[in-house]
Amino acid sequence: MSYEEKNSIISLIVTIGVFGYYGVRFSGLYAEGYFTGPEAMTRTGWEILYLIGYGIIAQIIGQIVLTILFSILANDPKPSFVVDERDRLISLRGVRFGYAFAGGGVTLSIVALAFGWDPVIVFNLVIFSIAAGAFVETLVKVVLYRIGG
Amino acid sequence: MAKSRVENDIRRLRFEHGEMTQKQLAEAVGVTRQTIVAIEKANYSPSLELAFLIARVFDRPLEDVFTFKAT
Repeated sequence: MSYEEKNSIISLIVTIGVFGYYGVRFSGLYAEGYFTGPEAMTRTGWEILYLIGYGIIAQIIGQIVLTILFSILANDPKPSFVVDERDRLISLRGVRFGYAFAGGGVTLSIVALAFGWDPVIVFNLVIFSIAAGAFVETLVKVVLYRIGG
Repeated sequence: MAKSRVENDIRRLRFEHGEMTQKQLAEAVGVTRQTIVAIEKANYSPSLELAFLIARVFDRPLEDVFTFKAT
């Protein structure tokens, strides 16, 4: 397994973990009425900032821990860090899918706003669309690596 | 994934060059072993630059290593 393929799998795992946690946290707070009143958008903004913060920390820790784990499981004490032209091509294909997915999600969010959905929900839908785009991008990369693209 | 129309003799050439491993060839041309695997299986067409580098490792002209399959 190449360095970029490992990176993609690790990123996929961390993204699921971070956004899974955020989804549960957000739905809990929303049900409690935390995002109501004049402070709703400010609170949403802070929640998103926290999400970005612990998302970055989780990615760094996840990369370190899972890289060590992969190295142990593959019995490869000196893993290769080479990134080549095929990696870049696969990455570009992934970006194309991810971008289309995120763009579609953002458009649907705007439609939801036009139909009177709660702006807090719509704002989170935009964030989730971007996250889902990143997820699809990484998923496409993993699939292309697995089928030998 | 559709097969590439660029076929190659890398596997045979590796064998003729002291049973060179895919990893050794990958290191010689600066790519991952997985890329060499994908090229050998004709799942991936290398760039012209990489194709020349591979041919140079085997000290052969490009057309001895890669052939284009016209359909």
